[in-house]
Amino acid sequence: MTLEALVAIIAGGLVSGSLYALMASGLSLVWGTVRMFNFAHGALVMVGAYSAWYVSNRGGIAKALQPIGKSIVANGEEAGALGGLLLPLGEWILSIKGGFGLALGVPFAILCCGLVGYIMYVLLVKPFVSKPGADLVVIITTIAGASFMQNGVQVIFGPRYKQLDRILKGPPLQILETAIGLQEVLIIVLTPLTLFLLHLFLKHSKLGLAIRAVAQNDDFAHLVGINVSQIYPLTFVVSSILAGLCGVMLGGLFFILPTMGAQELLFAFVVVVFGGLGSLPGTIVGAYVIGFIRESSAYIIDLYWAPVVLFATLIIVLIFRPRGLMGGEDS
Amino acid sequence: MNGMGERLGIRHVAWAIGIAVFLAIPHVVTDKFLMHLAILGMLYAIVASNWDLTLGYAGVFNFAHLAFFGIGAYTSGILAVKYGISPWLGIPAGGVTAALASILVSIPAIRLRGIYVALLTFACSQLVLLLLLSQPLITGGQQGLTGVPQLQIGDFLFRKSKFAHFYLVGFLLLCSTVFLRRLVTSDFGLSLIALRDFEEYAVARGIPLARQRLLAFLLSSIFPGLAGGVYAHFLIVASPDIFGFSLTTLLLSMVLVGGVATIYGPVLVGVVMTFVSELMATSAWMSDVFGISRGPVRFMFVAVLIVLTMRFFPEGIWGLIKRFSTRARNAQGTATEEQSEIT
Amino acid sequence: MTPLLSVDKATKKFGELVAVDNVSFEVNEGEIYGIAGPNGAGKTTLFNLITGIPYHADAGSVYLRSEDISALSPHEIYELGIARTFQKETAFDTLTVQENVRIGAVFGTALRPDQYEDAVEQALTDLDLGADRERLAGELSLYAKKRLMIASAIVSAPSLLMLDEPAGGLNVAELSELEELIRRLSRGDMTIIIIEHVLPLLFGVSNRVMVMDFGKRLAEGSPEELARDDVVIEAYLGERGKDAFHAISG
Repeated sequence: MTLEALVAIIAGGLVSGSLYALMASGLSLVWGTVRMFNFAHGALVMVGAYSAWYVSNRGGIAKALQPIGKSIVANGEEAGALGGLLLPLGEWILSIKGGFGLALGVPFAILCCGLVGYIMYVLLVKPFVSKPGADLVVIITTIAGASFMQNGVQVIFGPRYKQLDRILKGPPLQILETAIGLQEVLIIVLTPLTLFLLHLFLKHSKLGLAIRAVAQNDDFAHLVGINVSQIYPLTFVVSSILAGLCGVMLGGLFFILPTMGAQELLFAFVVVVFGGLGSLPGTIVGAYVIGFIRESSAYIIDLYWAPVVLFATLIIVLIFRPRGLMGGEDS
Repeated sequence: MNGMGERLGIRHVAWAIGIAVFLAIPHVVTDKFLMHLAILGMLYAIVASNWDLTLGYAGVFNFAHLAFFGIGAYTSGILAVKYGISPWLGIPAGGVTAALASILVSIPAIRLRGIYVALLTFACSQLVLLLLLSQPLITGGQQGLTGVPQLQIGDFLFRKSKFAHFYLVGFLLLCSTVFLRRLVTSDFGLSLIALRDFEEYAVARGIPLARQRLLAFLLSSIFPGLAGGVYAHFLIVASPDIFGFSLTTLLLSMVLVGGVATIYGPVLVGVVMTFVSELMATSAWMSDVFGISRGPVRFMFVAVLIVLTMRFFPEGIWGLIKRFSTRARNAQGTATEEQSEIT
Repeated sequence: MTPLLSVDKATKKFGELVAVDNVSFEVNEGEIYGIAGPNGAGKTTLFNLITGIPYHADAGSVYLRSEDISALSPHEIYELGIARTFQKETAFDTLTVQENVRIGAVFGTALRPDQYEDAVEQALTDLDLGADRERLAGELSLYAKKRLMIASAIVSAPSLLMLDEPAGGLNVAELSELEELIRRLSRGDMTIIIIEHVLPLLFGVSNRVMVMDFGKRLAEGSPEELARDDVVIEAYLGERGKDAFHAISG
């Protein structure tokens, strides 16, 4: 193997690992706290990408506003005082026809995903939480939720590809004669930062502590006065925001499609099984390990076969360690 | 004893009427599209009701059942397109490969619990898809396998006939349903329910968990495999869409809305739901009223239906029917008892 | 004579906690063997590792008529003739009472298919469940569920019946019925091991009793011997319990 190939595999592994880590940590967080598995997590990635695109890209909300801006400007000159007030608004609208950029797009995506995560919790999870067999029911309702979102986005935005702007523009970085795109570099750097923020939130904020308390023991958390019924939705919101961020980064690398996220969800499955459901450190380590396995098998064997190798790995792990590679033996 | 006899009689009459109506349908219904939907609906009903054996009766979080259907479709399709083998051999071969695949899936699945079974079966079904996509020369890749020959016997082409496909698929559905009902009312069926209700108690009463679960997978994969084969020759294509989220959701809705652990429910609702969703997809009404593309909307409708079912009548339609009929029978029973006490 | 069941230095740990610590005992054919001890003494864990549900012992062996059954799966152990009940009343809730018992008769027994129905009927009669046969098990009262659990265990005519706290939650009338039932089963050639907190019942029916605490075997003997063993009684019941115990056992 050449040095360039090695660098390419490491960089690729870090990028994939980062994306899986963002996604799988959300899955793991929800599992650890609510004891539910969210099959709509992949759809949230897609929602994140689309909502960021909608605000930042010229084809999104900016395009939708243009006729309004035009009519304000056209009518404003005749309409006297009120028109005079509205005129700057109209001109402003016309001036943003290129979209609002990612500076607004990313916060909007975070907001959107948090909101969707909350709604999802209320509609798909909350009604079933305390009932027997809830784990299977929630798998089913979240599958339905994922299908709803996928098809809903297709109704709103159409089936055509969209593409998100890259956050950093410029020539790729040269490391040992291997070119690495700036977006990739950004993902590699930003993901550990995000996960560190998550760590700080869980470790030091009051809400984060409450989440961890509930994850440790529901009943005990009740006793010390933590309102579990508020912690569950909060966990969903946090996890959805993580998925949304993953979507924003993914959207800068590949095309945005209503079905995006489904493939990533499956890789996140592999990661959580590998790293042990509910354990955040395990999940994050698992994500990078899987990222490297994927990239190296794509390089050594074949691009098409990389996912096959991963799923085969998953199945073998499950045969020998039914609770995941790093999961506990018994519960 | 008298009551038993009466009930049996009613059941026989119901079956006879059902079969008579079924045989008459292709001679009464002239609309080709409706016939097409009926055939498609019966094929989906086979998959949904067999899925019910593992998901409903055995309580196994199995999400790989459409893969068995897909494997059947691709097996028969590839055998016919690449090797020129007759569909009449290819379709049974599809049943066999589906059965083999079910054994492969269940070997790891029977050792796992709850959510891990769901993850594994999902992964297995995606693995099949990825394998199919990785061999575009054989499988047609993303575009699907086209040019699958249609069914024929001698010079008789099934497509030219109004009733050939309908009767063939109807017969398959009948066999599958009778087979499943016999299974679930047998001691084997009891053991699946026992394992679902209380696994530790069931093994403490001598039920071999691994063997019964493996059998549940195996026995419920054969008819979907056969149905998949017929599906490929009926639509003359085998497409990777079979493995998609949307079709999974649609089939899931048939099982749930029909009623888990009932068999009849998924059969009935399987056919009905196919009509509902396909008519939604093609009716001009949808696009006129909502002014939106129709295809995706039906899947949104199906998703909403699933959530509402889980929330408000989790036993499904057949479960509701069963509950009301037993309640009615019980009420009748107590009424006659009281009467006899008085006299 | 080889004992029916012998447990040899069985140990089971959960992390740091040693739930069953090097316990050995033997149960002879035809006897009623009682196991007593405070909550958390390891009694149920001992049942679990004998029957392999849901785990086996970490160390030590279990023999049934000198056949090593330590590593067999639960359904194989049932097949060899060990049937147990659970501490918590347990049933296949969505099956009828009759079907619940039928499960015990059909799987892993020496019965022929044409004997199933008679065996089920007999067990239903024995446990006074005949009137409830068509009802769903989930609808039964606690006492009826406990009887159903015993019915599904004895339908296969096991050589060893293991009862885990059968008397928990029962009233006085039900208790005396239960005592009568256990004696009746014992007369019918069944060897019985019974875990029980209700001491009058346990000491009343058992030929021998083992006392456990903190996973260890404290003592073993006939009820009369144990009644005299103040060390055991004190460890098990505390000072006040001792007086109460003497009052009970007269």
